Amino acid sequence: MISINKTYEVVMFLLQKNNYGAIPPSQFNAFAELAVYSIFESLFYSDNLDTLKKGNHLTNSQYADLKKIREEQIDVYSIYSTPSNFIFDAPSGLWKFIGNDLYRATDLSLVNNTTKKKVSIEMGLKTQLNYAVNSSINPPNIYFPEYYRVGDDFKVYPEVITGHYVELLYIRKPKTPKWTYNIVAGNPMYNAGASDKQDVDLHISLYEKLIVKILQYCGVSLREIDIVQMAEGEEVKIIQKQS
Amino acid sequence: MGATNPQIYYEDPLRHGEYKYVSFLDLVNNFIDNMTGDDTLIGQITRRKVIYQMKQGIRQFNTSNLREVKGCELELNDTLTAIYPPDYVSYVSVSYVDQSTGKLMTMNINPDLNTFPAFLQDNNANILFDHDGYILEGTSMNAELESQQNVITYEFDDNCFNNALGYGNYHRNTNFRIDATKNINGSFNTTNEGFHFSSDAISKVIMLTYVSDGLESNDDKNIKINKLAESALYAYVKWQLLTNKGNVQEYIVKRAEREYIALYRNATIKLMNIRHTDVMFLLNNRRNWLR
Repeated sequence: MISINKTYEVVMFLLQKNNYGAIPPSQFNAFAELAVYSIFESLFYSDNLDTLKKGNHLTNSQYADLKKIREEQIDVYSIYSTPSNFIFDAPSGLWKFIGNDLYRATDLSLVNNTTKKKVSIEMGLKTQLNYAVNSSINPPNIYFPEYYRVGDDFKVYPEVITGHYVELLYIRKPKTPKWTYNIVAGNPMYNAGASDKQDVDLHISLYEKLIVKILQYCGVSLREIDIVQMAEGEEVKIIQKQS
Repeated sequence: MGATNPQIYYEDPLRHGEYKYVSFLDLVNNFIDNMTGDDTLIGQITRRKVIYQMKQGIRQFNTSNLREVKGCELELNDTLTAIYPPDYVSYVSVSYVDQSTGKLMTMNINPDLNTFPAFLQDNNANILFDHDGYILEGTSMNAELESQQNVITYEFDDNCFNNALGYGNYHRNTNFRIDATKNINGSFNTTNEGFHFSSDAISKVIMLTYVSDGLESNDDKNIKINKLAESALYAYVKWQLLTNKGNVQEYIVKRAEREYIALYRNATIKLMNIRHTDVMFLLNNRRNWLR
């Protein structure tokens, strides 16, 4: 987590408009959320590039292991479902996630209730579903089950037998950042004790990227081409540094 | 399938001898865990492709080098036929049990035994059809004769050649060559459904040894192979997956093929169970023969 107040103060400092209302808190919160999602989504593409680099021996081990560093940034969002928020809907025969923070499904597992032993449920291709199910040599079975996405839900083959349940490993949505405040003498003052305060839900290593991204949006909003150009220049530098 | 607690092992008959096998579930998991994914030659691949090739490999190994021979005792019906066991793929040997000595007397295949259907025909030799237009079939001449228990008997005499290797007693033909179809122990032929025996086999108990394809249990949990063939099977799957993958240079595929062939040969030799004591015994016998 990155402190939302620290982020707010740095952005305001860089804009030279500290608490003068040019960027009201509501706008800052909106830009911060946009920046978080933009950086968050780019992590997956960066992970792919890092994997390629690792395959080509362009990264090294330990502190120079770029893929490990990237995975650490993504792992923050990787969590397991529980039997209460990932349930089987008998009429439709589908497994449904009833939480509201699912961003991307990573893996499904068939879990034995008693032993807790897990078997990976592999994602199948929808276009090959009929071939798979009708196969006489390797149809999906309880040892090698498969799933297919149906809308937001999951169809598991074969049907899950008694004594087992399905567990979803998924990437959750980042929490929406919120800089909370009280109006004191006409100016917004940070309220750290507000119940709805939310720090920025990104790995601390992405702090610099976050500031630059928010500045870009602020520059566009203020029609300050200098700020946009400065932010874009900083972003290019970060990309070059990490390539 | 790993080493287990000795007490559990000895008390559970189902576990006896299990350590010499690797289960199919372990094979698939090991292969996916160690030979696929990022930074491997095969790369990302779906599990079902691995399962498919693994099962094809098991089939091939079982019918060639694994020597997991099964056996069963069969009693013949009136038409001297025996239906294949449900997991039958190919026979290794067919014998009858000599009830006086208990010895297994090997029988030979005789392709001349009639196993073809006989079409029903009218007086003018026109073929007869049923109301659906399919040809009506009767009992073939050979089978009919055999069902009448027209037993052919062979006598031991000077014309009989007693095979030193115990493969039955063969009549010599006129050119003094061994004719396997004239085996005094009787003969059989194979059809799509089972064995068809010569009339010599009447009232005899048949001992059949055969091989299956290793997938007969129809349950992935029960499929297993000998540990000595494990590496060869991985090499087979790797080679097949690389063969079917796009953008893989031919030399890589060839390298995988050579690796498989080498490991397959090694596995075959290991599974032949050649012991140095056996070799010494044979060599010593050779010296005796020469004297």
